[in-house]
Parts: sequence; structure tokens; C-alpha cells
Amino acid sequence: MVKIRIDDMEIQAGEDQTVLQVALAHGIQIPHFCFHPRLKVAGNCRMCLVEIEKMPKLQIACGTNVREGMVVLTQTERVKKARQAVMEFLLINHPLDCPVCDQCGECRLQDYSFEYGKVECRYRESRRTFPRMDLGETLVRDMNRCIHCTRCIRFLRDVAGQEELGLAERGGHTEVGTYVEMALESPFSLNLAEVCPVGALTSKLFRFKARPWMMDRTPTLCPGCSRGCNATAWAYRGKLLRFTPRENEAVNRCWMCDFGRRCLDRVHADDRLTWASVRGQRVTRSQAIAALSALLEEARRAGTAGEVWVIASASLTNEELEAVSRLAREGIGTARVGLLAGQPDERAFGPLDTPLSEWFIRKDKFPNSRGARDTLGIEGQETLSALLAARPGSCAGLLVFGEDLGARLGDLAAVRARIGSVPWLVVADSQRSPLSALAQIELPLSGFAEKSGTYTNEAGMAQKLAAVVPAPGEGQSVVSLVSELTRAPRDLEGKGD
Amino acid sequence: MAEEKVLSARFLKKDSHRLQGYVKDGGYEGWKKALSLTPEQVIERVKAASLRGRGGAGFPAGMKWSFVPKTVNKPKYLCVNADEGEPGTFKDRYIMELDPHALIEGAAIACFAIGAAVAYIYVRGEFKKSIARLEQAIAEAREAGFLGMNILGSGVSVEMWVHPGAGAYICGEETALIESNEGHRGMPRIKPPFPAVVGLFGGPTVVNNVETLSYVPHILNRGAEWFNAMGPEKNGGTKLFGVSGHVKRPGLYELPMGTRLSSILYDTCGGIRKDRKLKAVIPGGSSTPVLTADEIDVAMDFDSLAKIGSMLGSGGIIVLDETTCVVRAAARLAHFYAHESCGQCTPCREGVAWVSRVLERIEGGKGREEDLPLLLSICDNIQGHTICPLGDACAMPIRAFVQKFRAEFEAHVREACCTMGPYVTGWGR
Repeated sequence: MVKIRIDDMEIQAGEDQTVLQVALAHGIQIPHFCFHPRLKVAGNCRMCLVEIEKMPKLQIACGTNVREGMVVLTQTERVKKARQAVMEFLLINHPLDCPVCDQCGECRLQDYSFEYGKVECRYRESRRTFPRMDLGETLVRDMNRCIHCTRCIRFLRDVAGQEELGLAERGGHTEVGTYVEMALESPFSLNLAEVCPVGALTSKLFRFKARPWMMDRTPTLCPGCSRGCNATAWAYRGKLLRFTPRENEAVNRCWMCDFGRRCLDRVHADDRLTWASVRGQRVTRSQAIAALSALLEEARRAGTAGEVWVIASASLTNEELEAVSRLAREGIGTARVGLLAGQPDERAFGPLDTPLSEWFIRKDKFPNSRGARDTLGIEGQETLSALLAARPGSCAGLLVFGEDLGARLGDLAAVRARIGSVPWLVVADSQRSPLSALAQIELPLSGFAEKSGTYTNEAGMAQKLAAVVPAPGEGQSVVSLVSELTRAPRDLEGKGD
Repeated sequence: MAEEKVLSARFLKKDSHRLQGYVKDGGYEGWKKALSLTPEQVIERVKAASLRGRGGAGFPAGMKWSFVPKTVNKPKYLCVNADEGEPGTFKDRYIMELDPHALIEGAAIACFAIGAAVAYIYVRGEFKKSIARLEQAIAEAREAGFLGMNILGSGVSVEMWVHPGAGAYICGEETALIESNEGHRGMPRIKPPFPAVVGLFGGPTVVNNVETLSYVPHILNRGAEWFNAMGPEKNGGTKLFGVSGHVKRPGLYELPMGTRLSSILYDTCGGIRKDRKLKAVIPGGSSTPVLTADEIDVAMDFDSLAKIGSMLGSGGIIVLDETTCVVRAAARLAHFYAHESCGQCTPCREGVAWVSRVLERIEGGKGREEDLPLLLSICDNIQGHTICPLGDACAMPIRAFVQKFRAEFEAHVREACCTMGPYVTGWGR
């Protein structure tokens, strides 16, 4: 530990820390663009220049290590003038297009120009311009707005381990790009939209949909795989518009993969199962639940309740799975409970210096495999067809709970063949699928963004999932479905609401 | 003081670049001598001779070598800075073309002193002849046993490679040179860590200029006292001055450190072309602040020029006579720096380009009164705020031009045109 002083504050700091790290940890604001806590230091924006006693020149706080007895001044006239100069330099070629820029509201350049900039502009020359560059499916590059901080390049090179972006040309003509206009192929490309402190790299998935300050932010989880990345869900007027990573050192640090961010596509997708149906006829949810209740009652009377199969997917929360388990064992009286989940992945936490995807993205695309296995006490199979094939024997009826089953059916013909011999099929799902098309009764479920509960990730961490937007139509969680089902009076059979 | 030639003594001899002649003239004796000493003794001898870096900064070479950590488990390297890109400078290429063995011998001694087994000579890409001659000379030296494994039975090994650059001014900055030598985009690194601690491929590295290293064999052969006696205190030896511009006999001259600038212009170079009046002199390459005709009675050494607010730099003297438009000269210089800025850090990338645009506008007759304070203010905002000295290298001379020739700049603004008449072509008319 060394003792240093920043302005009026005496601070004990670690020997390998930089002035900027120490200042930020103690609430002292030193403006910075190119510094990112998880990227290598570049020292190129020159915004964090501070005065250090006994050093003739101003020094960059991000690249200067603390030393015993160091005295750092962050508020002197010299420092303020240097900051103002850097702001002026950054702004002379920056377009004043904040009103149509997607970064507006979360732009560091915008924030700092209010705080450290000047009102008048001394630049009388024409601004330099670049053609817009399409970086593929996820990002648009607007080089006119770029401040050349190279955070994007450093993220891809040092964190993701992919050298897809680089600098071309020199001086004021320096361009960040993929050299021959190639598309970015990194599975982490959308992180660049956040790593970029300005509007030079914006997400094609989110552009022009809403202003950040108008949106509701809810801490939640990514449902994309068993990693369980912590995310912030951004919703505007009941619509989920984007995911951004939420910092969690133990799980995802501060990154998220593109696959996970795209999971929100299915929240407002056209294939959402919003209304209940019985034999293809739209009915109210209560009517459908009553119809299901009648099927179960019939099985009970016929003495075949123990032959009813209940299958749950590992996309359900622990609470939902618990409800399914109780429904099967206590409500129906069957031990034939199946789980639709991915195989366990042994590479739970790899070393951090391998390419990010190795460490990060899980093959198991169910968010709650571990929780499901723990809750139901059974191992899961890969797909529904595999599950059905693995359990021969008579089946009096099939009740399937799942979220987005369509993607996880496996061999559809095998499923169809097996379903053909089953007296009845009931599917509760958030999306319509080939399976739900075969069902006598369809029940709408809420999707991951519409329910709260917990997912247990591959490492055994139970993390909280939050309801971000209301479920469309009559969608409900499995917990509420099961409670309605067990409450449904048997003598009301057929009468509905 | 007898005017002795040290580096240029062999330049005019036939086949001066071949090993045979070099050895006949006493070449590689310094290398043999060094091998009979310890590395510490070599550093002490170079330190005793006040050999200051001839690349421009004037940092004592022996001191630089002594910064290399003695105990470190990484390979150490020597990089020879032969990326001679400073406008007005053309000294290193003559050494490489006409006496390459002097450089190779000096570099080998430096390797021995710092404990490096490998040296890279980073040569400016356009210097095709220098590259060819160096490669030939290295092959000759290797064959003769002056380079390679177990040199002259001493157990010391030194390998040397020529690394051609791709023609970027910025790669003459030592950390950008290292980046480029590693195969990356030539952009300066932030310091600290300094190259002496973390340099080429992460190992401790010394970067020395061609001219600097070429003095080293002579210092070992003839002693520090001989070397120091040739110049003023703390500015030992001779210096290669490349004089260009409006003098009667432009060219490369080797003169003792501390020779008066006026004497170089009027005695050595025969005065101003067509006996016109002198207007300005850039004393040490384009990045050094310009001197007016009244300031030329100055000793050409590091300390004397620093005293009057300029620099010895690389010794590239650019002479401007009375027919030169200083606004155009400044605009041309600023254009060069804007073009050569690597674009990495904000003040240089944006500020230098801005300075260039404003100067072009003034020269084009569209200047405003507020442009002159603006130029000075931009220069203030660049200087000292950048990663490497390229920002300063533009800010300092431009500030000097505006301050020392303010009347001429004001006339451009007032008359809304170039007061020297319309632009024809090139520098002179």
C-alpha cells in the first residue's frame, strides 16, 4: 500500500493501481473516454490529464501508476484548460446531430461537453466526413461521430480474442473499420455498442426505437443459455427493446453475447401463443383449464392417472417447476415426470485468457437446467423426441409445460408418430409450435420477460428473473396456471366461466 | 581548433562501403577493444565522452545505455533508428550508403554494452540504397567474424538485421519504431514504461540514432578526451549538418559542435543564394523553432540553441531567403505534420490538422484577424498534451513562425492575399 493525495483527500492505494482507478474508487471524478475498467490502457483520448506535483507535464491519470507520496491535482486551472482543449478538439469534427443520434442520452461526449466544454465554437473550417459503413447484422458504424478511443478494437482484440476491427489511414483520416468492409462475425459484436462511448457504433437491433431516458430499466437475467448472464432489460411502453449486460464478476463480468441479446426477439414475436384453445377453437383460459381438469378427472375415474405423463422444460423457473412437480405427484398422482433440458456442460468456468466465447457461451441453451434437475430430481434429455423415445410404455395422456418448445422438439416426425398413439395432448407454452398444433388443448404461458422467479445457472447460483413487461393476451406463469387448475371445481365440468 | 572529419572522413574514398577498405582504415579496432573490456567499462567510456543523441533530443547515449536493467530474464535489444524522416535532414543515409561498417561497428559495441544479442536497424523504406548497402555490409561483417556467434573467440554473440520501414515519419519516434519493428501499425506507446525497461517484444531496448552509434568506435579508439575537446562543454564531438535551401553551396558538412550558425551559412556554404538577404533559418530539422536573420550568431550545439528557444534537433539546417513567404512555409510544414500524425491521440490528430487548415486559409487570402491568436492558442493546447513529441514538433515551429513573423501573417490577413505574390511552384522563385 502507498499513501497518496488527490486534491484534498489522503488515500491509501494499492501499489499496482493507476491514479484514475484510485480516484474513481474514491468518488473523485476525472473525465475519461478511452479508459474502460476491463480493457487495456490506451491513453489516447487525453481527457484524464491531471497535474502531478514534481512532474513538469500534465500526466494521464489512466496510465500513471501511484507512487508513495504522490500528490495529484485534478481541479487546477491548468487541468481545466487542458480538458477544455481536449473537448474542443473532439468536437471540431463531431457532427452536431445529437437529436438524431441513437447514443443521445447515454453519450459520454454529450455529458462531458456540458460539464467541461465551451459554449462558443472557434472552428471555421469544414468538418471531415466519412461514408457510413455497414458492419453486418448487428452494428452500423458512423465514423463522423468517432472519437478514436479504440475501445472497440481493444475489446475485440483483448477480450473477445478476435482481430476483426482495426485502424486504417492516418491522422485525421484515421478510420475504425473492417478494412475491406467485411461484416463483423464476432458473437460479441453488440458489446461494441456499449463499449463505444459515443454514437459511432450503434446497434441495428435497437436503433431509433426509443430514447434511453424514456425507458424502464429492470435488472433481470438473460434466458439464452445456462450461463445465466446478468442483464438489464430496457422496456418502453410495455415493449422489451433491448438487453444490456449488468456487471457480475462471477458470471458475465460486464459482457453479453449477441445470441443472448437476441432472445428478446421472441418476446414480441408473431408466433406468441396468446389465447387458449380447445380442439382448435379459441376459448377463454378458464374454459381451457376446466377442459384440462375434465381430462384429468376422467383419467382418475378410469384409474389411468398414473399413466399420465407430465413433461416440463428447463426454461421454466424453479418456482414453476416446483408447481409442475406438485401438480404431477399430488394433483394428478403420476410419477411419470419428464424433463426437457440440455446435457450438463463440463466447461463450467474456463480460464479467462482463452477466447471469450469458449469461456462464455454455453451449448446448453436452457437457462435453468441445473435448477430443473435439482427441483425435479431427474436428469434431462436433449429433445422431446428423444425424451418420448426413451420412455416406452403406455401413456394415458401427455401434458407438456414449456417455454418456446418449438425450437426444442428435435425430430418432429418421431414426435408425431409417438403422439398419434396418445389419447390426449395438452400443451402450455409461450409460443405456438408444431407440437401445440397437435394438442387438444393449448394454454398460453408468459415468457421469460413476463414472469418473476429464479433460475439456477450451471454453476449452481440461483439468480432472480424479473417480470419486465406484461404477458400478451391471457398468458400466465405455470405457477398461476397450476394454482387455477387445482382450484377448478370438478363439478363445474364443461360449464366454464 | 583543427577541423577534423570523423564520420565523413571515409565518405569520398573509393568503395568506402566495403569491409576491406574499412578494416584497412582501422575499422573494427573499436569493436575488438570493446570486447577486451567489460560492458560496464564500455558504458563508462561512452559516458565520459559527452556523446549526445544525434536523432534530435540530445540525450546522453551512455546514460541511456546505463538505464537498461542488468538482471532481467528477457532478451534485450538494440534498435538503430535509421528512419531518417525529419524534413531537412539527410545525414544518416550518407553514413549508411558510404560508411555502413561504421554504423555496424558502433551498433555491435552498443549491443555488447547493454547485453543485447540482437540489433535491428530500422531503415526508412525509401532508402533502397542504404538498405542494400547495409545488408551487404552485415553479410561481410558476419563472414569476417565481426558479427554472429562467438565473435573473435570472445564468447560474445551479436546478430544484426535490417528492417525496412514503410515510410512514415512517426516511425522515427522510438516507441512507434518499436511497434513498427514488431510488425504493428506504427503508433507511439504511452510512457512509462520506457523502452529501456519494456521495449521491443517486451524486452529492455535501447533505440539510438545512426549518427550517434557511428561515433562510438571512434570514442573507444581515441578516448573521451579527444571527443570532448571537439565541442563545447557537454556537447562533445563533431556534428553532421545538412544544409538545404537558399544557400550557394547546400550539402552535408561535418563540423565541430558549437560552430556558429552564421559561419556555417556564410563561410561553409558560401552565403545566401544570389546574395539576397536572409529571412529565416530552421536550425535543426523542420520541428525546431525557426530563427530570424538576427538570431543566427549562435553556436550550433544543444545547449546554446536551447538557450534561445530553439533546438539543435537533427542538424538539418533549412535556409529561407527574403523571397520566401513564411506563411506558405509554415502552412507547408503544418500540412506535413497533419499528414504524418498517426491519429492516435486527440490533440495531435485534431489540433495539428486544424492548424494546417487555418494556415492554408490565411495563405489563400481568407484569413481573419482572430486567426493569429487562434493559432497560438491551438499550439498551446497541443503542446505537452500528446502521447509523443509529434504534436510538439508541429506546435513549436508554428508558434515560432507566428510570433517571429507576426507582421507578415497580419499582412496576409489584411491584404487578403499572399504578400509575396502568387504561388508559383516549389519553394523559390
